[in-house]
Amino acid sequence: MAYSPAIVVNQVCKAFSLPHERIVTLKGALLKALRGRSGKDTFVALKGVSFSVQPGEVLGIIGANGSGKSTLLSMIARIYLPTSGQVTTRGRVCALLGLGAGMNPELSGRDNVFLNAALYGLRRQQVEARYGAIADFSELGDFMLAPMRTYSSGMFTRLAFAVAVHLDPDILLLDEVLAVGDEHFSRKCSEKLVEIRSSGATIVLVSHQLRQVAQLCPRAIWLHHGEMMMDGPTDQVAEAYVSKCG
Amino acid sequence: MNELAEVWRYRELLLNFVRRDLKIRYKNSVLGFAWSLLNPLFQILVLVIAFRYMMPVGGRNYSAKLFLAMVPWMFFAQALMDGTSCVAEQVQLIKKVYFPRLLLPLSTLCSNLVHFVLGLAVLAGFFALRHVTLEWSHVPLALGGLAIQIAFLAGLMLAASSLAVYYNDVKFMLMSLVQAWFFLSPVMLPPEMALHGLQQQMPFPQVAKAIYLLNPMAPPLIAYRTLLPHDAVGATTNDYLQVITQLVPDFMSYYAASALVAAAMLLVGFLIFRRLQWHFAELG
Repeated sequence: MAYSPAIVVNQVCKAFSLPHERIVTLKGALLKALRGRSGKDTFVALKGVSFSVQPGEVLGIIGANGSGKSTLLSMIARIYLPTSGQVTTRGRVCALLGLGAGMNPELSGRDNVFLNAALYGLRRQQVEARYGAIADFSELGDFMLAPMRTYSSGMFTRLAFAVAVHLDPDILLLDEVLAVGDEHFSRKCSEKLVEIRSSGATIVLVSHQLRQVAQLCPRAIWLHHGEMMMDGPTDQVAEAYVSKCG
Repeated sequence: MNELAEVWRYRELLLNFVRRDLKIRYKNSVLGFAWSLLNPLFQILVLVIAFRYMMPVGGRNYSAKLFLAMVPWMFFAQALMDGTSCVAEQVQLIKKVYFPRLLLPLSTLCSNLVHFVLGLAVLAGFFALRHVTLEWSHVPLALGGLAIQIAFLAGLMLAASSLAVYYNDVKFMLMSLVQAWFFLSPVMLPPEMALHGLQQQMPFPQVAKAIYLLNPMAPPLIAYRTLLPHDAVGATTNDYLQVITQLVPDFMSYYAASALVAAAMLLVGFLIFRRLQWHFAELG
């Protein structure tokens, strides 16, 4: 079992029903029933994607807009269920699909730290143990006790990221959230990510920025219109991607 | 039942959600928490003026009886309205983080329960001030009624919260429904009077009474009412349960029926929620 993968994605397909096919009114429902349409207007976001990630591995996912990168990440995070195929994960998963999930402007920074960390499955004692480090990392000082509606957007991002990098997950899923704050803070985040990587966490990173993927991930996957085009060392995958789409 | 085990594992998040609800509810209001008590008090005052003085049908100690019915009713109505929008309002969060979706209606129910308990404390204070004597032997009946009410409410919340993500109509429908429900439930109109009226005025009195009592909220509310004595002038008994069973000999069957309906509603609500929960993130 020592080498069983942290993430297994097996023949995963995902189809979404198109929004305009949603029945929102009674009239619409009746019209649709009369026309005898079976409502099969779907958009297939992923077509039979398979790969696995070993514990401690750092994987980048690249691809153009609408290639299914975010859908794939959301599926590993259990936000969506696959239409067919399976996704299995081992260990505590933290998905940063957007910063500051559930943070409320009326609550203080401190309260939001506890709420946000609890959303990612941290126990209260665990948050208490990390609170000092989170407050330091955010550089917010006394503002930690002020309601978040008094924060600038930069302060908001700093606090959200400070929580995010202190979650100590077994599997960390990142969706283009790295480019935050000013240069000083952005560098601090990149350093923290390298630290998380060396602590042995499995990381999956979705990004447009090839440079960032190349820096952090030895291995990459290229998605194109929901299909996996390539899986291999990042420099080779990036080269193929650039020559096709670049 | 995997869902329930998972809710247990996320119990700390549940507490966090409840704490957030309670903190946010009265943000930016000077009286803050007092509003949750002032609102029902104001309604009670209006109804007492109406039915004690303007159209004096309420009888003696109307305010105590009304208060006793209003506290659980407001809990029911408020929790149902909050519950209907609890998932729809958090779709953005659902798209970002995985957590058991059941926590959303469950935390809404819990924070409303906290308000309900505070309301009960005020009710107890009111009873103490007015030297109201309670019929302690009917406490089990009333507690059973509360269990029925909560199970029924939870089932409705589960169904409404998941359906409201798809159809906003659910919210508007429930708003009108709750209004009508208030007038047709034994809240402001004393049940013995309502039953008597149905007996005298309706073309099919037995059917009308049955419909009145098949409202799953009716037996619990009547059960709460039995905590207070019957104090009409010239009454033969002061045990309210006896008054009701004289009017409806099989009242306890209706009580049992409401328990069954509540259990069925809870199950159906849970099944609807479980079926729809994976689609919440794909909408909106």
